[in-house]
Amino acid sequence: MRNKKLISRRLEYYKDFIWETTKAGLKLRYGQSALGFIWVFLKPFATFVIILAVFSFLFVQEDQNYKFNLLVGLLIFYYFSEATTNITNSLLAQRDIILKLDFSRLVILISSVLGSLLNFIASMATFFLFWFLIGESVKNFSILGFVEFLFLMVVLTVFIMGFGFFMSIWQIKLRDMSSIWELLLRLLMYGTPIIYPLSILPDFMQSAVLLNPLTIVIEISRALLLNKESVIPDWYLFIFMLSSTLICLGGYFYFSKNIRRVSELM
Amino acid sequence: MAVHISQISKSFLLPHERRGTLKNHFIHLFRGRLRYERFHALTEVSFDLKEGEWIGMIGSNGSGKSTLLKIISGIFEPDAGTVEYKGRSIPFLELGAGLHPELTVRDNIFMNSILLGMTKREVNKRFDEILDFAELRNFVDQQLKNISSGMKLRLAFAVALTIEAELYLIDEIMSVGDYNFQKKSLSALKEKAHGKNLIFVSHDLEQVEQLCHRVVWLNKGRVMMYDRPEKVIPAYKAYSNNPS
Repeated sequence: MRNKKLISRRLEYYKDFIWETTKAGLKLRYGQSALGFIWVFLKPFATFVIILAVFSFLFVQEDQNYKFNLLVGLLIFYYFSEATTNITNSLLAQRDIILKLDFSRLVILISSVLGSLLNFIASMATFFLFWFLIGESVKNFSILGFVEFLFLMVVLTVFIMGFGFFMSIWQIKLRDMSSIWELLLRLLMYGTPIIYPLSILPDFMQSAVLLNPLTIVIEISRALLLNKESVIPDWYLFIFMLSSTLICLGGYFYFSKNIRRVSELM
Repeated sequence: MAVHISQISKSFLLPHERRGTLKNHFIHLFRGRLRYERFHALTEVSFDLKEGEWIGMIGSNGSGKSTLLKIISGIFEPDAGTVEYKGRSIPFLELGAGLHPELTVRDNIFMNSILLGMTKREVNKRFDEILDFAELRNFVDQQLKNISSGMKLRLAFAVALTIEAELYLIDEIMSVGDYNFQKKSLSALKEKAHGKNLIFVSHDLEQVEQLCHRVVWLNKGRVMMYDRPEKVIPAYKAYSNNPS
């Protein structure tokens, strides 16, 4: 009985801890700016408008749903890029409290990802609202496809957590990691079929681009949301799920093993 | 024994040159092995606290006092040795860690309490008590950057004081706030930690003598003396005046 009470208190504590840390993080980020939360939408949508203005006439014949596909690609990419960047820096950003208080360091990583995830959900929700208001492709919408899309985003988040377990520790040991990752993200933006449709690439390049997990996530998401057959074979998704889980588990062990020692280097 | 500190050793590897960046790593690859110096912060430190005992920790700067407190509170891992005690410890180390200048007093009370291990419901119950003790009721919706630094310390102290613990770790904080608040916080701490264990780090030798049952004197990471204050403090003073 007493044991049960202790466990439920523990769960309540972690729920409060993660939620309050995330809330404080968002308040700190947006509380002081005049446009506040609107910045979350502004970044991807402004990029969307510019890219649309420049490239749409090039690709619209190749891809009839270019606008839709571009926006889905950008939103997912922004989520990935923001979440991975934040989680890489998350431990160092909290060095003050890490060096003063003994608490579960895992919470820092979780709430970092959760903050980015909330931003992503908000911009996705706005996107869908507009999409339905414009009235396009409502006929294509399928509940099942949407649920599968949500599941895919969960897998992507698991992947990001796994990535963060390693990167946040490495960033403490070697301060270059965040700059290296920033550079790679920039390359990744063009190495992923976001601005251009996958189908314009020659075959050998398509198979190269398909090694990039973001390509798999974005292409499948587009197909699911438009209720179309995906060009990506199912086993790609399966491998992505499997490797995300393994990376996350392995990362967790690596993180727990190293976090105490590494705090001395902060 | 209520608190058992046994054979704690801790050393840090200090690189001779800073090499936190990739460039420096590469330079060192060509120059040969990185040169480190092993700094022994603590060497085989052992002492016990009896039930309800308060002890002072004294020693010159760099003698390992803060490192030892960090090991006791679980922030650092020792190279060797163990720390044992029942219940939890509450660190009053450098109060103000984890306070956010951009958040309000209210948000900070919640954030800081949660960092110290309280659930939201428990904070809600104690919220008024904390606010009253810190004497910040009129500032509750002010951002922290807009209140004075003394007030911030009062806030942090009030939060830490509401946590139930078996072992209190106090690092140089009894100079919190103005004279009135100092008196108040000291007597509140006396009441709260009465019958519990407390480790008190201070350079204020008079206060150490008044408050503590025994005093441990650290010098270059080793225990020089562990005895009653009237024995340790004169020896420490003599040594400090004439370190030979």
